[in-house]
Amino acid sequence: MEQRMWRPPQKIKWKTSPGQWPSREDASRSHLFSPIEHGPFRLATRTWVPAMVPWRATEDGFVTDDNVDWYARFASGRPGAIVLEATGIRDVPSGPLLRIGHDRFVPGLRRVVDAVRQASGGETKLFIQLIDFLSIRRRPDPAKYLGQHLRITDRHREALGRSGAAEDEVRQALLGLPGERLAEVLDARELEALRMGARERVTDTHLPHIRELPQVLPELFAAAARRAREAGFDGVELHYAHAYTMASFLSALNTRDDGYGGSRDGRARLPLEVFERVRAEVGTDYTVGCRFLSEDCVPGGSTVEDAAHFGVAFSRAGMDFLSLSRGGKFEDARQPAIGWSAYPYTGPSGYECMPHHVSDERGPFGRNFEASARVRAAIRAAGLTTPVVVTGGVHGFAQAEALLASDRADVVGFARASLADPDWFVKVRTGHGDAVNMCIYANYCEALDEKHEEVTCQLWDRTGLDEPGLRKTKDGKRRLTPAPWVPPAA
Amino acid sequence: VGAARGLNPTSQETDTMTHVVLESCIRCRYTDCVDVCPVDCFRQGPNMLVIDPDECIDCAVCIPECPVEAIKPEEDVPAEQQSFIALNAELSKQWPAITKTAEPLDEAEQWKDVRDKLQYLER
Repeated sequence: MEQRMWRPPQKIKWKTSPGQWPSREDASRSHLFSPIEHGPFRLATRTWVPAMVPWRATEDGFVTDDNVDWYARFASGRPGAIVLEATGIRDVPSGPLLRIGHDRFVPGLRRVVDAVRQASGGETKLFIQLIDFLSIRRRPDPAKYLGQHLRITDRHREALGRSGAAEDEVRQALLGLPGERLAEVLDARELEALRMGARERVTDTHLPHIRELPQVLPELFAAAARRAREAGFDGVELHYAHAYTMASFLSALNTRDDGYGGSRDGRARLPLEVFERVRAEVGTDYTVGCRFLSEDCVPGGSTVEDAAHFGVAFSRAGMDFLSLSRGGKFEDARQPAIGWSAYPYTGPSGYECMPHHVSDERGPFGRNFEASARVRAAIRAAGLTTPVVVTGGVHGFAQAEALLASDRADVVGFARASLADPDWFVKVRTGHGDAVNMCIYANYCEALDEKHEEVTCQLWDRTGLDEPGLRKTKDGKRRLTPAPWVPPAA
Repeated sequence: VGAARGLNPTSQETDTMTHVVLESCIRCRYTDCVDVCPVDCFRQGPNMLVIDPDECIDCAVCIPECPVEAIKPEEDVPAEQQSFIALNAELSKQWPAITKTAEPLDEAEQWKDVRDKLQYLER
């Protein structure tokens, strides 16, 4: 495929270095394994599994047995919280992405809730990430795009020097043009549609359904949050990060002139209105937080100072937690192969989100720490105590503990590290840190994700394949969850 | 970087890091490696496979799949086979992708233990 993730030119190879593992006693006295409480937000430990889409849902957005097994397996490692993968708030076809846009999705989601409660002995809190996204089309076959889909206008006729020409004649002329001439005849969005696949933006306010997003989204998010509560989730995480609708409202690239763009307050307006509507729906005794970006990491995008402003505004509005991510935008995504959609983790901003072990001088571990700490400091300086979840290449106990001890985070998220070993938490907590199966940050998982194949980890997906009754990938070659960990006899 | 305190890389090398198919593959082409590759970075020639160094993510899952141990990380390529690093880079841009494991070459069994096979490479 032509959309492999961007990598820094320096090509410096980094290896994980988890440092000293704590004894059981040290772990019990640590910040990481201490509880946290902030209103309805109460975790037994300050450990967190951020939302990851494992491509286990049905094409209709329903929970499968494989989804249930997946979350039960993470819960058996007993993190403080798990955030269920991005789940669509609309009742529209979205491929194998979980959905919560209708009451019929609630029973399936409740199965995950029950499985997580049981597998963690009731210790792990389960939140669900609620997402809205705009339309993105697959990269078209050029002959099809220029021959059929492109809307031919007089602008094309003029640029080609063929005013008055029939539509068919214009299409034939376009099909015969070399790429660089085509770039002069098509406008920027038409070129993008040809080279990347057409992608809607929140600034396309000439389109009624985009113009009306501020009227539509609060209700959709609120209805989804109500269903989440009915299904038994401990709270919701509003997805305000990466390449999706709400992050696009927050982005400095949002130039809407209807009061929902431009200034920082304008860009934060819809995210705040969505939150207020959700809060009104679920009440103050229910956890509502969001995930947003400490930096967009694309030219012209939001900076850490924007994020600090948003963090203060979200905290002041009464969000119960804020989880910070980084980058992952469409604006710098690599060109997909024909027939594939652009993917927001393939450009430099995607690298910031999921850095690979072949990196630059800064390396793949902790790229978001400084920006996250800046956002958290701004929140604290405003006299607010909202917990901040920090993620990004965390794999060692010492590293996580240092983040908490130095007042740079309140909760530490482990995404790829927990995918490599969902028992990271229970192992480290019981003095068995040396038994952790350590992520190597090769992004094998990300490569599978990009192809929409069932996400697994290379460290465990080909082990014990002859276990009776084992659930495997569609091709039967990989197991879908790691084997259980058996603690050594004391 | 202060934020990464306590996290020093244990190895830093500035060469292009990738995995390389070596001479053992020639005239065998078992292709067991292909199915496990998450990024489809293998390319197929007449009697050998190569890895596209621009696609390989260094996850190393292909290494144990090869029945003739033809794949090694670049840093472990033996001195006498260094030419295969450039050969993989060059041929991967000419040969088509292979994304599913196929039958080995008919002559695979008789060539699997033979050494110095570079002379038999067909382009």
